[in-house]
Amino acid sequence: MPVNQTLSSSTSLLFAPAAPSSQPAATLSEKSYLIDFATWAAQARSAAQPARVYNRPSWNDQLSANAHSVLSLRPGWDGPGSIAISATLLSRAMFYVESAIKANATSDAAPRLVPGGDGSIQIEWHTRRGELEFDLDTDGAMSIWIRNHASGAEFDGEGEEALSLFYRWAPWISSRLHDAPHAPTAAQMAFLEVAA
Amino acid sequence: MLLLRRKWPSSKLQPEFRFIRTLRSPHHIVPDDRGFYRISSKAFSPSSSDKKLSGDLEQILAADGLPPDGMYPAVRDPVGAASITVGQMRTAGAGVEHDPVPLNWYHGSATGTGKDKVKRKLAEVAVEFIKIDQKLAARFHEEWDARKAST
Repeated sequence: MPVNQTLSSSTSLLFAPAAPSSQPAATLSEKSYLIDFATWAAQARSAAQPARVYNRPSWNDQLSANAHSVLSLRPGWDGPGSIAISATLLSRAMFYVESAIKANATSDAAPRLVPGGDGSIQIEWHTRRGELEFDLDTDGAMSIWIRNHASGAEFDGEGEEALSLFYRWAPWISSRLHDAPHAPTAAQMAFLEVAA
Repeated sequence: MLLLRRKWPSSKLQPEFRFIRTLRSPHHIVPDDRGFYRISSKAFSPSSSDKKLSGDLEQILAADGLPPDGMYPAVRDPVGAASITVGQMRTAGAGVEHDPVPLNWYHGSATGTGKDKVKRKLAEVAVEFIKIDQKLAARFHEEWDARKAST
């Protein structure tokens, strides 16, 4: 099974719909439609978000707009030698965010996609609950740093450990239910044990 | 000018002088959930494909009688500038060198900032040498994200 499909399957397991699908899980490359960020935002919104009673942009719309602005950067945007962000890496970042928080109906805070002049990208949240910075490099390297404001605890990790930490903490950081305790589901815990 | 002057050796860069980096909105700063813009640690990751971080060197500006913000802004959509002393950068694990480019004799490069811990340490000790203009940051942010509608 391709790595992309393995990744997709893993995240599908985490947030699996009630009815099992007979279709094989889409690979990351098959999800290249994510480049059409406006369509992606509309699909994700209708699938995961309850109807809003106010006009504040949903996290999907904010993320989509953010992705467009990052994709429009040209070489030299951050001074001499800086390069544009590849659509492939941006799609990967969007995929991680979508699969981490789309099933969480309480998600409210969109992360920020922050580009690096070396072509890398960082997914960031800075909320009342805490902070999360997940860095994706052009060579496939990943690293993460998390701070829980309530306990003062900090975590960091690299590679697959970073991805596991991202899937564990992103739904909690992005949740609008700021008073809810963080209690990973049994499915999440099973995934984390396998990933570890 | 570049041809007639000799590049400064790193050993001559004194720890008390600052490395100054222009902050561009929305790509070097991030809003928190109150909408307050702050410096992203990503602003201190490598800014070029050769894994170096760009900035201006206060010591070399001063040697020519120029103020620390003499080359500000270095990129478009500037909303402020961050500074870190050369000493703080070295303590964090980064190297600093004079790296003149054709249009900026005062340009410096930091190496080793690709490591997550180094980048984060730099973000921790950085100060807003030119305070982030929050209103301007929000305006640039909205303008960039609004490009979605026109593309």
